[in-house]
Order: sequence, then structure tokens, then C-alpha cells
Amino acid sequence: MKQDKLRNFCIIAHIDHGKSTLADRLLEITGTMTKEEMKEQILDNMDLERERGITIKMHAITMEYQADDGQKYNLNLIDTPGHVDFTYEVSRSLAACEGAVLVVDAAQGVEAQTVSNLYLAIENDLEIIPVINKIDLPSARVEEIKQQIIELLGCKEEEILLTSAKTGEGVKSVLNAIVNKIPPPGGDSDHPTRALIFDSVFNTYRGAIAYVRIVEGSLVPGEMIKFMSTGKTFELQEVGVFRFGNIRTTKLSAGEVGYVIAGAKDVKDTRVGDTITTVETPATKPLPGYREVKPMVFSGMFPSDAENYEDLRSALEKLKLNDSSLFYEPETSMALGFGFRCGFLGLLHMEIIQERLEREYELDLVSTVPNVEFHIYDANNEMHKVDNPADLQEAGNIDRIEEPYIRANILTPSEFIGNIMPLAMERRGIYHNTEYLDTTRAVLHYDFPLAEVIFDFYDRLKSLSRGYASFDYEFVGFRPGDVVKLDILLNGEKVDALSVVVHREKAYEWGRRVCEKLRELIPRQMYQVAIQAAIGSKVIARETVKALRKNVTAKCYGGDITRKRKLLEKQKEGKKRMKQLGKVQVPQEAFLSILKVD
Amino acid sequence: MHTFSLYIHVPFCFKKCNYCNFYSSTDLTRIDDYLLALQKEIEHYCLLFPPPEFILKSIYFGGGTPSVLQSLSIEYILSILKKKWNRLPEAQISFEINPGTVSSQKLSDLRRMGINRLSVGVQSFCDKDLLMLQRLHSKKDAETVIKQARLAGFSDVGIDLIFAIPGQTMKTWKSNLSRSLSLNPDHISVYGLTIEEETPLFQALRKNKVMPCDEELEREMYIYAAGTLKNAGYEHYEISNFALPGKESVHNQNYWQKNPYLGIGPAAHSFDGLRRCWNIADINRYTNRLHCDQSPLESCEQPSTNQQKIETIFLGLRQKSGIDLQRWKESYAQDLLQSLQPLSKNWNGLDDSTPPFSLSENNRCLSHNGNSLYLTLNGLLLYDTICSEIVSFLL
Repeated sequence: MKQDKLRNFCIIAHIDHGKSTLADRLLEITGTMTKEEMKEQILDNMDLERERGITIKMHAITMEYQADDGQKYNLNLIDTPGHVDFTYEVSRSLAACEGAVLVVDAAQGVEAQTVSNLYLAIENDLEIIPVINKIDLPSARVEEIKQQIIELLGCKEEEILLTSAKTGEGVKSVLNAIVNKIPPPGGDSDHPTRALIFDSVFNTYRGAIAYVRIVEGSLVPGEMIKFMSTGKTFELQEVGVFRFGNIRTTKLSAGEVGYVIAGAKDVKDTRVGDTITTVETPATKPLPGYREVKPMVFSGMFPSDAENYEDLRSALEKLKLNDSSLFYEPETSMALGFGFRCGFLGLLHMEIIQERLEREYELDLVSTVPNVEFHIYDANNEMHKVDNPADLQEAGNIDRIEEPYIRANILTPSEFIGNIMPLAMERRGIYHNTEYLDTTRAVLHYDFPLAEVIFDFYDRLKSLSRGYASFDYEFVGFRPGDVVKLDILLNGEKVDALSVVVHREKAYEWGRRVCEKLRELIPRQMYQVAIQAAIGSKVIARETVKALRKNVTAKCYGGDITRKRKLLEKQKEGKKRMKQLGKVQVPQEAFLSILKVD
Repeated sequence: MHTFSLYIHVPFCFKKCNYCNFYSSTDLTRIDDYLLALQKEIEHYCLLFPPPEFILKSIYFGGGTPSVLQSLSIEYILSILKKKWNRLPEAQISFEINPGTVSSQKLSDLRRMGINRLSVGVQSFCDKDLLMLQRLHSKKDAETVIKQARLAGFSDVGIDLIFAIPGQTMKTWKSNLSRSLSLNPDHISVYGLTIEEETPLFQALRKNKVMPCDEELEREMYIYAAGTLKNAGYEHYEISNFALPGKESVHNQNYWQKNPYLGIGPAAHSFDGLRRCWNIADINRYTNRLHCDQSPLESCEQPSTNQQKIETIFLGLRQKSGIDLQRWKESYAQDLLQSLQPLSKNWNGLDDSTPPFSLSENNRCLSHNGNSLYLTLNGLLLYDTICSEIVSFLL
């Protein structure tokens, strides 16, 4: 198909604003998928969707559409993942498009993700088609939301399309706008090939499959291709386009979107954002914007039962096949035994992985308090990366420590600003400015140390705003931070899995709360248990679990021996969930509860 | 020929005590029905212990309150038993009584029909304690009944005492013990009050209407009782039981030593040396079953080797005789002392000089003499925890 009959676009929206429903409707109207096929498709995706009500993995599909001018167009819809942790992936799929349909819920209005996705789209020079969806809702506030969008986008009122993806109303106008407003892709098919990888998936039989947008040149099976970030070369086995399922083709040319199979065994070789070129006439420069995805949040994950260590390893391996951003390496904890230190893009990514391990792989896990990566500079100004609090002391003579910072947009009804600002201050937020989207809604711009938001920030934000505020962020770099390592000791022995790195001013509060929590959770034992929080050798908080003095129920229940035996068996089962730290037995809940200090 | 013990559960009470969670009913109109069912159970369903190869070594009437039964009824039960099984000449035939529920006439009746041991539910000689426990009798009743029992010819009279009653002080506990001793009982059981869930006392506790006994006080009370009774010549032969020489409860020891026993009546438990079985714990369902000529057994199970080990541990440790190390080795091919070494390290190590149920100088809980493993007095106070730790560690 000629380039001028191609349109590459994506749909961007805040969670639950109707992105998937609108996509389904487009597929249905263009006859790409029948209702029955769609049902199957939806059923297939159910597990993932259900997990969190968001799309985690991206998809792409091509629709054929006969526009009002009588011409046939190929519309490539490139789906984007719906969450802040995947900002980089979002930005790469946006880079594969020329336009974006911006969906805003007619009742909810503009939210934080709407704003941040829109910024990304504008950065990528995309043509924006604003759409107010769910106009059939009784609570729809179309006029108000129109004003929000005009404020945000600076567009004209008549440019805003009104739809109900549910009923189908207005959906055709979206298709027409895609054809008429979004420019056709440029790029010369005769130039040396440059193809942008915007997603990759792992297939058991075919290995890594890269989803690409050909920016220049073309890809033909049989030729040797090169991944420019790694320099690795492969023979191109198959190319194809997305319909209802993948359709094999003979060639992908500039402007087109499709898939590439080249015998790469690992998604590590098909990195999102990388550029594919040909070995014969290689491009001199890769496409801009590639960066290696690095984990930002780290946590130790340990099987509750040491016997499940190998199961955990194999589960992580399987998840990693499809998720190159997941990082893990073996970790040994005195307290929790053998496990893995895992790195995630963000909190949500961490939660998704944990939930998948627990649900899909039926693993019972204990995870440690999540932490960020610190950059430790020694006296020689040499930098050491530390992603595990337990390793901080070994970093030796510390000159200074730097911690990662993020730039956050908090979108909130203005009445809650007064609640949110103290929270931001408590989390060491650096205030930039407030932007009003209209008279009732504002975006607060802050910089935060990442460490301050990975821990219950989002929940607090939600509760302080009665659920209305939304939050989005991007990483902005490392900055100096006055952080210290805080250890927890039980009867004088350090519990490595409970060590945290915290801001100096917060160490006391944290130490006190953890000690209190542990005192509640550690059952009384045959000896006294001292719980201490310490910075270095300085103890800053202490609690005591008194020794058991008396524990006898020596009644003689007639000949009922079974009763006591069953009780002991039950206690024995319960003990399985206890960790023996030196002489002290600590219930696993203690490790989990620290994640929920409130 | 084998011997076994027989327990008869009499599931009736004039009034339920507020701390009791044993199975019993206050609907005394059901007694006749119960007696008919009991007769049927004895005559047709005690299949685990077929006469004549099984001979009774003890009989125990427990409850509930067995003394709610008329003398005639008790005599009738005994006569049916007599028809079925032979007894050892020295068989111990015990009967639980509550002060205030028996006349001197009844005591004479009991003695006449062959009952040779009484267990008196005194609980306390302090009226304030009795009120807290909502017992029906006064301290006076308790003293009277014990004296009457002697007059009726009982040479083996035991009393039950409860300590750690809310509101109880060390002073009242001491006076309880000295009053008990002044009555010269042959056997004394002392139980720390356990406030079980689903009892009125538990509810009262939860609503902060009563204050539980302080843990340190309870500890002191137990240590004091152990010392006092020992000095008075009673042997502390089981965690809660003290006896003059030769006056130990044959029946209860039979439970702890894993010998066979038969329990009849609702909720009664039986053990044939292999299987543990128990009857339905509901008087109506129990009688209905038997009236329809069905077995009153609720369930039966055969403990696995590990379950047998658990039983041996918690039954052994509650006795002064402890766990027989040689028998453990023969039964389970395991050196128990050696296996417990790592665990006992957490508890200041194993003692090998403190006699059973005596205070250990270096606060050790477990001790042994080469033949058996037993608790020290320090260990007795933590009996539940120690059993639990050993079971979890060993199995």
C-alpha cells in the first residue's frame, strides 16, 4: 500500500476512560474483527486485563477503512501500555505513530495520565485528535470537559469529537479524523533501513518477535539484519502485518507497521526502542530516543518455604522471557534464606510481578521493603551503585550519597490542594508550580526523591483526595540525599532483611514504628526478645517482648488425647510460617506488616 | 488376657459452671433416656473390648456431675458392667462428686455398691472464689462432704482445686492448700484456671468485667503448691496431680501411659492401643442412635507414626516418669536426647542433674537421667510451649 494511504496512530487515555472499548468499536466498524472474534480476543486477554484493569502489554493491529473520499486506507492502531511505570514503552510506541486519539471520560474529565500521555505525544510531534467518550453517561459533563481540553490543548471547540464507544455513537467521526487529520508517514523506502522496535513478545516456538515501525528503507526475509544497540546480527526469517492474528508478508516498507522474526531467542535481543537495520546497507545512525530500560525499584523476594526456591527461579525466568525490564539476581539473607533481589520499573511493575508469581505460579512469597538504587561516592569520587540496603556499609568510606529523583504531576480537584501539599512536604517534595486546567482542577508539579513515593504515597494521595487525585511521574536523575542505613536488631543480632535506607530525619520515626510493629507481632517466647533500631552502633528505638512466664493448660480432658494432639499439629503448621532468627522466632507477617506501617 | 480402663461420661449438671467447656446438659429429664442408651451401648457396642479376654482394672464415673444420678441408677449401671466384664480384685472404681449434691446416705450407697475412690470437686475453700466460678456449693459443703465420705468408709478421697481464679490472692490460695491438707485427702489435683473460649467467663473477660489472674501470681501459686504439697508428703506425679504413696489415679495414669481404655456415654473417648475413637458429643443424637440400634461412635482414627510421637511427647512430659528414652529408641529408631540437642541449646541446654519436677538452678526446662526425659519445675510452667516447640522441631 502506498504511504499516503497509511495512517499510524495510537489511543491515549487515563485508566478506565474507555480506550479498550473505543479500540474494539473501531475494529468492529472497519470489519477487522467480527463481534464473535472480538469476544474470543477479549476472553484471551481477560487474565491480564482483570489483573489490574489496565493493559500491561501492547498490541498492534491494522484496520482497512474506506473513507468518505471512497479511497481505502490502512489504519495501524498501536496500543500503548496504560501506566506510569511504562512511560518509556509508551514513548516508543508513540514514536511509531503520526497521530494520537486522546480519549477523555465525559464524567471524570482530564486526569494525570491524560496529561502526561499528552505531553509525551506532543514531544513526539503527534497530531492530536481529542475525543470525549462516554457521552451517554447520565453524569456526563460534556461542556465542562470541553473547556478542560481546550485549556490543555489549545484546540478549537469544534475539533473535539464526542463519542460513546459503548453505543457506537460518534465512532465513525473518529475514523474520519484519523484519515483526514493525521498525516501519512514519511520516510523513503530506498534509504538504508531503519526500523523502530516498539514492542517485543516471546513466543515459545518462534523466540523473540519484534513489533516494528519501518521508518526508512524496507525489510525482506532472507537478508541479514542488525540490532543497532547490541550490534547483534540475525537472518531475517519472517515479516508480516497485524490483522486478526499475524499475517505473513513478503516485505515491510517505510511507513508500515509489522512484526519481525529473526531467530532471536531472547527478548533481550529485541529491545524496545532499538533500531533494526540491514547488514548489507546499514544505516549510519540509529533512530533517536533509545535507552536501556533500567530498574528503579528493588525488593528482595524470598519463598516462604525454602523448598520453593527453584520454583521461584523458574517462574522469574519465565516472566523475564516476556519482560526485559524485569531484573533479578540471587540474594541470600540471613533472615529469609535464599531468594532473589529483583528490580522493577516502578511500584506497579513490582506489584504486577509479585501478584503474577503468587497467582499464576502459586508461590508464597515474603518480600522486603522496596528501595531505590543509591549512588555512593567514595573519597576518590568513585561511584558505587547500591540497590540493597544490606550492602550499604560495605561501600566503604562514603563521601556522599545520591538518590534518584522523579518529576511528578499530581492532578487534583483544587479543593484537595490543601491536603496534598503537606503530604508532598512530608515526602520531601520540591514544589515547582501549580497549573489550573480550569477553575476546579489543578496540576501540581513537584520533584520527589523516588524513595519517598515508592512507599504508600499513592494510597495516601488517594485517601487525602477522596480518590480524586491522580499521579504520574518520570525519572529526572540522581541528586544528593542525606540518607542513612537503619538496621533492626533482635537480641543484638542484625536482621538483614529488615534493614532500610532512609532519610536521616525520618530514621527515628521509621525505627520507632518498626519496633512497635514487631513487638506486636513477635509472640512471647521462652526468653526475652529485645527489638532495637540502630543507625550504625547508635540505638535509636527499642521495644521488648517479655519472656513467657507461664503457659500450661494441664487439664485432663477425660481420655481425649486427640484434642491436644491436633492442637500441637496445628501449632506445628503455624511454625512453618515462622522464621528462626538466631534464637528468636519471627512470624512472616512481621516482614509483610512492615510494608504496611501506617 | 488384657486389662483396660472404663470411663462413663455422665453428661448432666444441675447448673453449668461458667468456666466449663465439657459436654453436659442441664435438662435432667433426659436422664432416663440416657440410662437406657448407656445400657444398650454397654451390652451391644463395646466391640473394641470383647469379654472375657478383657478385664477391667478401673472404672471412672466422670462428667458433668455423676452425682446427679440416683443411687439406684448407679447401681444398675454397675450391675450391667459386672455382667459383662470381670474386674481385677484391686480395680479402682472412682466417682466424681460435687459438694452439696450428695447426702451421707448417698455416700454410703456408693461405698456399698463397690465404689472405692471419690474425687471431690472442691475447687476452692474460699466463698468468693466459688462465687466467681458460680459453683453451687460453699466451703462448708466441701468440708462436710469430705468428712462424710470418710465416715461412709472411703479410704481413698481426692479433691480438686483450681488456682488463678480472677480475684484470687496468694493469701487465699495458701489458705486453700492448708485447709485441704487439714482434711487429709489421699489425692489432690491442682488446675490453673483455663478460660476457654465459648464459656461465660471468657465473655466476661472480653467485656473487661473480670480481670484475669496475673501471670506472675499464677506462676507463684503453682510453685508454692508444688513445694507445699511435696513437703506434706504428696508425690507430684503428674503436672496437675499429687498423691500420697499408692494413691495415684490408676485411671488417669492409664490415659497418660497410652494403655487401652473404653469410654461410654456421649462425647466419651476410647483407645484400643491402636485406634482412637469417640462418641457423638450430643445427648439427643447419642440416645437416638442407640435407640435405632446404631453405633454411637462419631469417628475413629489410627494415629500415624508421627502422630504417635506427638502423643508420646505431650503425654510423657506431663508425668514425673517422663518419656522413656529406651522405648522411644525401640519404637522410632531415634536417639531422642541427641535429636533434641540443637533445640535445647536455645533453652540453656539439657539438664542432667535436676530431678523431675524440681526447680532447676540454671533455669533449664528439660532434664534427663539417662533413662527418661522429663520437665523440671521451670519446664512445667511452660509445658504447652515446650511441647509445641519439640513437636515442631522434631517432626
